[in-house]
Amino acid sequence: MMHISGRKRKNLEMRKNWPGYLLIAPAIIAVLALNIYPLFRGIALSFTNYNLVRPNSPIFNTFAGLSNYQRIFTDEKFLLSIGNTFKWTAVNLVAQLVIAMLLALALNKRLRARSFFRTMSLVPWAVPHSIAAMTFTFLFNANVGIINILAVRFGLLSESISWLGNTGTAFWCVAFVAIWKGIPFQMIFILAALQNISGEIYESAEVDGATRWQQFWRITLPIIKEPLAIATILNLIGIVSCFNTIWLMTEGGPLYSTEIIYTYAYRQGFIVHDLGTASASSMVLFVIMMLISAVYLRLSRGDKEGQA
Amino acid sequence: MKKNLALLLILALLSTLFCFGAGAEGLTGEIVISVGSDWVDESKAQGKSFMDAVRAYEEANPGVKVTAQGASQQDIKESFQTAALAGGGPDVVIMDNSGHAIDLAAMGLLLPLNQFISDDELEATYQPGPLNSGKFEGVYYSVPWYLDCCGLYCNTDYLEACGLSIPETWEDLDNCLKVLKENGYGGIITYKSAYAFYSFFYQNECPVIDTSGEMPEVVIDNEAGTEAWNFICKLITEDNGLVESFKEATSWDKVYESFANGEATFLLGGDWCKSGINDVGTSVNYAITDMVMGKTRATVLGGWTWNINVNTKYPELAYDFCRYMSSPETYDILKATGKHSAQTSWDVPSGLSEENQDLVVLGEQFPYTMARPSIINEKTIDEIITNAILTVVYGQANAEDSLAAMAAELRANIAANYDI
Repeated sequence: MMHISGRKRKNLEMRKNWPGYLLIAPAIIAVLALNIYPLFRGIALSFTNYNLVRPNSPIFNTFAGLSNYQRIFTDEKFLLSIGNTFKWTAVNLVAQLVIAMLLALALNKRLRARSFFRTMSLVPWAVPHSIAAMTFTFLFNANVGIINILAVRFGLLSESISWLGNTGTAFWCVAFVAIWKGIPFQMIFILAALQNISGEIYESAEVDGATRWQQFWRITLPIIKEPLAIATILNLIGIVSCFNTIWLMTEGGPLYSTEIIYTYAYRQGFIVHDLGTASASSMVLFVIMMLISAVYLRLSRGDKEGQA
Repeated sequence: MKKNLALLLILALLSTLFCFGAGAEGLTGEIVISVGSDWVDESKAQGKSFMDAVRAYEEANPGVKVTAQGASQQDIKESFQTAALAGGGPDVVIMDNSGHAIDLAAMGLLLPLNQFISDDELEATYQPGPLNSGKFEGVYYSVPWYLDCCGLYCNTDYLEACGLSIPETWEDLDNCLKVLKENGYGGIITYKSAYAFYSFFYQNECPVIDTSGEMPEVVIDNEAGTEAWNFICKLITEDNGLVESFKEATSWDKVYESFANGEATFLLGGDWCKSGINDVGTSVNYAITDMVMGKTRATVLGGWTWNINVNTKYPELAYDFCRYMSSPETYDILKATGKHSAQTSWDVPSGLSEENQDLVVLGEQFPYTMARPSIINEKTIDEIITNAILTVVYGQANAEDSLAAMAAELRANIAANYDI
């Protein structure tokens, strides 16, 4: 047998696979230009004095150390936005997960017009964020919104209220829209996983006397745990970065009651024009997302090892 | 032969270069302008008259091409800023005169006008308010186009039902709101911003932020400012003066809806509100009048300006186009839309069409119309004042505490943007 050195093998592989590399090159370049470069630029900016409206300042574009971080962590609005981000994430994640699971379980049954219901349940996903935000803003309108009109007509409210204009209701209204919009994404993953479970397993369980709850808890959930974890992580990223819905409906208001880190970063960047603090707050968001993703991945890996 | 051919080629090259050079002097080139979507929508009178004026300019200047791009009015500044920071963007952009030009000038994204026209000429041509709204560090950056000011739209049906007349002073307004509240009618609707509320400070001779010195100085909490703030808070708390829709009025559409549907008796807004209210389709009878009077007559300035991108390849052409669009040659656009030119030569009554004569009353306020403070990050200043109003609306703070907190936040914001 002829011996080929490692370097030669690499060269041969490279020569053999170059059309493949060529084909994926545009995607790699796009990822580098649109994801990797902005990420590193963002990290660099978070340690830089970069107030766009002060380009002539002697400290403009100089190393700022941790001062941008210091400034955002002493800003009440940023601290509030961290709290809101966690609240927003928890509410959305739990609600979307529970409703999507229930919907998926229902749509996995042999129902009449199941295809129709499956298609209908995907509609919110197909609606663009901006359209959904505008539509619900109109529905919640204090003057002409159908929600107020019905609530007043049926005696639930004595007079119309501004759902998006009050600090007590704005958060929940925007969260409702995000939940409505996010459920199909989670549901489709769960439904796909459920369809891979053989009916025979449930039949055997039934023969052994397992209740519906036991079947769900002992069979369904362990089997779909992995795809569920992946779907949840992906969903989580979508939830935390749900900028459009919030900005279009409330612009983070009233009185920052719907301000999450993302909207805070946008405000710092495009209204206050301070890219240093905007990048610092984005980095905080980035770290939070990394941590959550790491925890989930570790959990799912741990389960795999346990199963092995 | 070869030599002759080479000579001929060189001559041809030189003549081409000469032609291009002469063209730049004689205004040739292609510019892109960014304007609100309504200005390019030719299915309506506003867009038709605007695009007719653009075409007329192209015809008068052969070799010039103007491409008009429609943009969302709310995001026009952000879109321009992002593109200009990246070294591109439209050559010319129109912008609200609420401080956008100051921010962009501070970032070095706008061309100063002093390279095209002297300050004296500018001051002789345009009204001081709109002109000063684009002045940064003593240099003019914006060519004023049209101006407007905040006026009072009154639901006359409600006023008559309550036996009230149109309010003319602070006391009248206070009394009207009390009587309206007793009779179950709503009070005031306006855009959820500081815009209309500036008028009350100006009426009490408080400029909110004094920009006459070297550094901006917050004066909102001086004696006059405190009085004005207390009056605003009184309207909100005692008179229940702001209707529920104010809390969510993040667009003017919501303001029109509230007034047109009879939720509010008064609307604080400019001339553009008339078409907005009528477009909603209202059965409400209303009158347009000037703002109430405090210690003095005053109201807040609005309007739009033309601005030139620092990245433009055709600065002369860009400026000439801005000059043309804000000149008497294009008054038809303003007539068609009921707007007032920022030119000093503009005659308010004759400048408006027959059906817009009811807007003359707003134009008559121009002599005492004041611009919002020309400072960096005016939008943040606006946000701070709006939030202070909201804390009073939600009952989270009283007049005194909200004023103190607002003044402190305003000072901190200015300190962050100026070398104080």
